[in-house]
Formats: sequence, structure tokens, C-alpha cells
Amino acid sequence: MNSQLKEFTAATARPLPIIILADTSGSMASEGKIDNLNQAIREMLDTFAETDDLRAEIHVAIITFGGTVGIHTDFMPASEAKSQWHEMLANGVTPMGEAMELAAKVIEDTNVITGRAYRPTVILVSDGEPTDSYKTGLNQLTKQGRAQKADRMALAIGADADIGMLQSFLGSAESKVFKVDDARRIKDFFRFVTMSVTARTRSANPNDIVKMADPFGLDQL
Amino acid sequence: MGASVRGPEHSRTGLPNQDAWLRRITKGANLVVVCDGLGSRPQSATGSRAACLAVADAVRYWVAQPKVPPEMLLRLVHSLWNMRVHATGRDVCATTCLFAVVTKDERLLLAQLGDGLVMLKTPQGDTILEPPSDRFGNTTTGLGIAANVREWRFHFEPHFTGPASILLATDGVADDLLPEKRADFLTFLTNQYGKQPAPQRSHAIANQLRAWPTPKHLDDKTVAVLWNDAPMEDTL
Repeated sequence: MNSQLKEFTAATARPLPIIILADTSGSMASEGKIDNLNQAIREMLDTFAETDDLRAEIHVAIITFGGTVGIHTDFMPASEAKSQWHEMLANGVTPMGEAMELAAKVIEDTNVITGRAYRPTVILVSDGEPTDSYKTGLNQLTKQGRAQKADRMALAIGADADIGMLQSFLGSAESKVFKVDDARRIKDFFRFVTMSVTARTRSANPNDIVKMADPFGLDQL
Repeated sequence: MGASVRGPEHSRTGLPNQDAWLRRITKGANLVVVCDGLGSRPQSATGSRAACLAVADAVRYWVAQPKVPPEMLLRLVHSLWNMRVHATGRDVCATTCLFAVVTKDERLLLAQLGDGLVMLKTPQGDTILEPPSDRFGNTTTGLGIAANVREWRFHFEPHFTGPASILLATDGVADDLLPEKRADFLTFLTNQYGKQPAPQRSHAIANQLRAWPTPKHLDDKTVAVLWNDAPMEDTL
């Protein structure tokens, strides 16, 4: 049946934006870290693309920071992100501050993330300290505009990760930074992210963030 | 005119429609109210229905008192609603509340507490009681939540004349309406259904709401329209 209301209404489902800030600095090349991160994200995209009974359409953007900051995956539905997926490479220093500024810019852009979108989730993954000045980016992403309303999750990889920085990114004392020492457990974190996001998309109100119990036994600090 | 239908989410979970609407046309005034019970709680439907009745009661007093400012009316709505839901509890009944009233002495009041759309269309232009622009979804206020009557947004004109139509819609409709198409949607409703007899057009509008075209839509859907038959200059 062709609805007469088609010309007045949005033709697409409401998007649930996921923005991943991925550390692709040189140190991520060792110990299988970048390989595991690539695999973990690819698996997550697969799951988002396949799950059909969701209330919202999951959209993903991936921003890498390694040497330079780049948009690895432009903001798009998870199914497209999956088909366009290519591996991230690790190289260079850690311009985390600049990456956060870029993420904030993406969130504030109402052409990219429209007023119809559900509350975004921003995920920061890192194995080291930022090598650039990050205060501006951190403020923009966590204390200003629409970006401050986003849900945030953080993963610290290995002993050199800057936990304090990641905790500042999370903002609230109730949210805990996740930590893995073994690169193979990066996948567990992303499986947890996948579960949390799909639970939101199935709930009566996807804007309500419910803290889920973690079944993977990830360390939380 | 208006209609309200339960959305696919509540159909699936066996909850009732938690939107409610009311139309009251009397000698003194024309009123429509649209309310959306918050949070899919078991008593959300109670809250939205109580709000419609509370507004209808409060408006009766306001119609009879031409000099009373809108804020006093809104305070009365809160008190009457609180009384109606007292036994059930305000927290579990919280609801948005949108209404439009046009009195015979030419007062026009649009008021909104919480999410949804309230729009006035005239040949001179459109007025919308817009929620803050940097939303990610819901602004989460309503009867049972708002601490202050200042959380209402309203538009009052003491001497309103001329052709006009007014649209009230809950989130389930408003979130999917293309902003640039809102006025056209209202025109469509008045042109398509305005001349039909009341029961028939409620039924017809409800059918449109049930066949909502946006993919993965899940909310309850309610629209209500007030319009006058004065000819508009911009006929389609």
C-alpha cells in the first residue's frame, strides 16, 4: 500500500550514530594490537549489518589517529561500512587531541548527524598517551554543544595507555575505563560494545543509556 | 479533527496506546489537546488521559476570565492533573502535554510541555513552538516532571482573527515529519479530511497513521487539527 504521507515523512529509519576514535599510532603495530583491533571492528560491523530487528539504523564513523588524523570510515550505515571496510594501518605519533576535535565537529554537524538521530555513542581506544595538546579537543567533545550529550566508552590497551586521560574523556565517575593487556581481548570489548548498542536499538527508548553488565570479565578501572 | 493509534512497539509488547487526545468544541472556545505518556510505563496511558481532561477543565475557567494570563491557566493544569493522578502517583504517570485553544472572544493560545509538534499556519506565515535545537531525541519534561511552569513554551495572541489551521502531533509523528514539509502535511490533512463527517475522518486519519511510511517506526502516533473555514489565499 502506497501511503499518501510518503511525501511528508522521512524515508529512512532514525539513525543511531557510533563514532570510533581508534589509536593507530606506531606502538599499535606491535603485539598484534592493530590486527586484533581491525578484526574486532570488522566483526562488530558484521553484526550491526546483519541484525535486522532493530528499532534504529546503526550508523558508524571511524576516525583514526596515528601520525595524522584521518577519517577512515565516513559516517554511513553499518551495512555500507561493512562492505567498504579496509584494514587500518599503524604508524606515527598519537594526535588524540586533534582526533577529538574532529569527532566533536562531526557530532555538531547537523547535516551529518541530524536532529532525528538518537544519542550517539563515542568510543575511544588507545594504547598510549596523546602526543598533541588535547585540552581543546577534550572540552569540545565532552563539555560543549551536542557532543557532551553523547554516550562514551573507552578502552585502554596495554600498560602504557593513559588511563587518566581516558577517564577524563568518560567524564562521570560512574563510567569506568575498560582495560585489556592481551591484544586478543580487544575483540571482547567490541563484542560488549556491540551488545550494548544493539540492546539500545531494541529498547523502547534508544536514548536511555542503561549500563550493561559485562559478561566478558573485562577489567574495569 | 484528530486520531491516535498505538504504535508497533506497544502492539508488540502488549501495552496500550500511551498517547491521548481530546477535542472540545463549545460555545466559548475550540480546544484540542494531545498528550504522550512518557517512558512506556504501565500507567503512562493513565497520565496522558488525565492530562487531556485536566486541560479541558482548566480551559473552561480561563475562557470565562478574559483577563487572566496564560501562566495562571498552566498552573491550574498542573494542579488539576496532580489531583487526577494523585492516587496513581505522578512519577509513573508522567506525560507531555500540547494544546491549542481559540476562544470566541478571539484569544488564541498554543502551549507545549515536552516533546512533540505544535504549529500554527496562517497566510502570514507559520509559528512553531520549537524545542531546543541541540536535541538528541527527547527533552524529557512533562506533567509529573516539570518543576516550574516556565518549562512550558507557549504562544498567546489576545486578538486573533483570520484564516488559520493548527496542528498538534506527538513525537511518533513529529520526529519523522520532514521539517520543510510540516505545513504541507497540515494542508493535506485539512484539504483531505476537513469536509468529511467526523467519525469517518477520524477513522481515515487513523488508517493513515497506522500505515506510517517511515521504516522501523515504533512510537504511538497522534495528530489533532483545529482549523477555520475562512478561505486561505494560498489554496493548493
